[in-house]
Amino acid sequence: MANSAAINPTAEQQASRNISRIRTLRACIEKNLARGKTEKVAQLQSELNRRMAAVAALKAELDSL
Amino acid sequence: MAAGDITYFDQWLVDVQEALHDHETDTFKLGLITSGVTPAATTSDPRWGAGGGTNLSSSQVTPGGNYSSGGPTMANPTVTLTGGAGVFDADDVSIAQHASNPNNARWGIIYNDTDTGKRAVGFVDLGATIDLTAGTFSVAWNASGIASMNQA
Repeated sequence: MANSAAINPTAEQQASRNISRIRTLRACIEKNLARGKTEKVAQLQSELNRRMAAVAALKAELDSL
Repeated sequence: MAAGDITYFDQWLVDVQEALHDHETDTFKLGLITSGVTPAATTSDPRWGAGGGTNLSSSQVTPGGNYSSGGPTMANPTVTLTGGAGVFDADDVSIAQHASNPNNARWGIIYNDTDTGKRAVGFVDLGATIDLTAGTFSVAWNASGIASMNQA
């Protein structure tokens, strides 16, 4: 049950975390949409967009190599 | 324990079953404390304030700079069913460098700021005393979230 966090995460740890958080945010948005909780959905969507942008920026950087 | 390890308070296991936390709608914070106290799973009724068995806020680092009293909010808490487990997660926490930040953070206390009693969930081992004046302090939660509960 116990999980471990990353203190001052490396870029690799942050990238991995972004992907896992995108997964939970999507799942939670879907759940709250079904429940009609629009305010919560908007908050989560904002964070999802931020994480997606971070991952996209990393992908673009990789693609440019 | 190693840096980043999260330990849940035994009392939290009881509090959850008594519906004292709503992990998706309540506000959770990460309060930083000094090495003046060593939290343990068995810490008696741990809280961020009076009213329980242990007031962890009495060991809080001195607020200043980008660290406000009580600690940063763990925004956007979520509870999802992931791989057969109920997962509590939230946005990561980051405190930007500032000359007036505290310089002696040793443990991070996850607690419920919505709860009147400000009951604590668990604590994060920072691994060593951390000087927040020296650089940005960040905590990225685990890929499996802050806490997960499963059938095992």
